[in-house]
Amino acid sequence: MNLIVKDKRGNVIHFLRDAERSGNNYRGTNGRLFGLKPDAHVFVWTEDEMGASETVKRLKRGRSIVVRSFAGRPVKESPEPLSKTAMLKDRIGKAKSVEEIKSLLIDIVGRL
Amino acid sequence: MANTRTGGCTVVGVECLTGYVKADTNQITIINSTGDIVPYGILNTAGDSGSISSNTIDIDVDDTDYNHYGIYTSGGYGSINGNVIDMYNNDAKDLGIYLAGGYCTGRANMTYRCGTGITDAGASNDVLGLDG
Repeated sequence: MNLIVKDKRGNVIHFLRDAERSGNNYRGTNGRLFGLKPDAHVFVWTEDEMGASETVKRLKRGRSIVVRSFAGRPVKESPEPLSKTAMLKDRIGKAKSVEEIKSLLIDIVGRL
Repeated sequence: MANTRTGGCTVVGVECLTGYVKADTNQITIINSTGDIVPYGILNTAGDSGSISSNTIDIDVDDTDYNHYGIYTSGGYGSINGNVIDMYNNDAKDLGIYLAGGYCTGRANMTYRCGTGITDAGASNDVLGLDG
């Protein structure tokens, strides 16, 4: 799933394609981010592509910077994808019958 | 030597203009609370195969319109080790180390109070660090 990282004012700071989370680190196919402060950002997980517009902003002293803004299709926000452990915990929590628990155990043993 | 700049400008501590440059053991402090400045502790846009190591970089800039960079490099094959970067504000725009080039390696970089400690926007980089 793709990840758009925005600041609190809605400006896009990072975009990672096919991102995976590991603590405060994120790895995507187009880059990696280490040590993101959760409080400083808004994380949007989406299946959509970025569809970003990039504008070059000229600064007064001759330099220019690229400003990315999300101006494409509306993003369908999705919940953050669960890790494998979290998925198992989720299934254990939702299991209602002995049969479901049995199949769950078979899945777990099969992965060992 | 201390230089003073007012708002609306880029402020660079050390800029690498060629390849094979060593930007090591510098102490860089950029403080601004009044203007919209774009600070770069160390800026390397031209050089490949350089070394950016053991620098102490403090950047305390209140502006939230532009990105702030402790180290920005778009050069390739560089070595980035043992830098200590403190950006004070924990803002999303505070980017400790920004890698836009490729094939850079590095270890033991410390980033404090950055929005993002290390941003790897290039290819085949292997630069790691700890975020405090």
